[in-house]
Amino acid sequence: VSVAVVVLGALGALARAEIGWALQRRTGATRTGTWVVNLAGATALGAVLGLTLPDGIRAAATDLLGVGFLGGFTTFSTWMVEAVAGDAATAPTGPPRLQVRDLAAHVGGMLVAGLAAAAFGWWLGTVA
Amino acid sequence: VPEPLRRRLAVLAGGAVGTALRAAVAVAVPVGTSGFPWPTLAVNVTGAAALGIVVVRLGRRASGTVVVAAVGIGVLGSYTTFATFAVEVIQLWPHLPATAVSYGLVSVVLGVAAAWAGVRLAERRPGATA
Repeated sequence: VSVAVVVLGALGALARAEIGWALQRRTGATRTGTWVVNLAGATALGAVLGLTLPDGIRAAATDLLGVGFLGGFTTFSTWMVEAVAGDAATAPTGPPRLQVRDLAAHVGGMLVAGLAAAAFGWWLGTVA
Repeated sequence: VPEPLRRRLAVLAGGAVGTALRAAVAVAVPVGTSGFPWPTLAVNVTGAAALGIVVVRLGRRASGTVVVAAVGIGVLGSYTTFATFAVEVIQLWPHLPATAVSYGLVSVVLGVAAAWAGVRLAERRPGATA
């Protein structure tokens, strides 16, 4: 595990946090940031790996961007916990309620949108 | 150190740890001979369970902001990845469509189950909201 990958992952995490905090301040919604970072990150990684690159550069890009920056920038765990716990992080009391319709929309919606974003990015890379 | 700066340093430090852990799992867990991305599935499912526990145990404490920034946003946010997950499905699709579909579905089904189990586990233990 290289130092560069770890440093880039840390910067990705801070970028994700800043976007989340800024959007939460403006919209009050905690999930908006997760949507933004995950769709942007999937598009970006798709675009980089869709490019025709020499093997060495491709491996470095996978490491530095895929494992490093975009790995830290995007998050799967937050998406999952938002789906099942909703406002667990901010609710003052009481157990989180499992709301099936909301769960299906959050999980299914981001799954479809994220795969579309990655495919769109990939296409951008191939035509670039 | 003022709180906004502490919170950001906590995310940076946690993000470094989470990224290093994910990279270590990628080395330790081999991709299946069928091309199934086991390393990403492993981090995403275990990370979802762990974050479920963390948001319940720490998320409601007023003093928990910096700890949540370090552990929840930093370590566990970075330990899991959406970009790699999405791109892996797209890369598998043209050659191994059945693997692509099963990987995508297994990831979200196990991820939801793990997050739910983590939340419930943390809720049931005494002092969960202390």
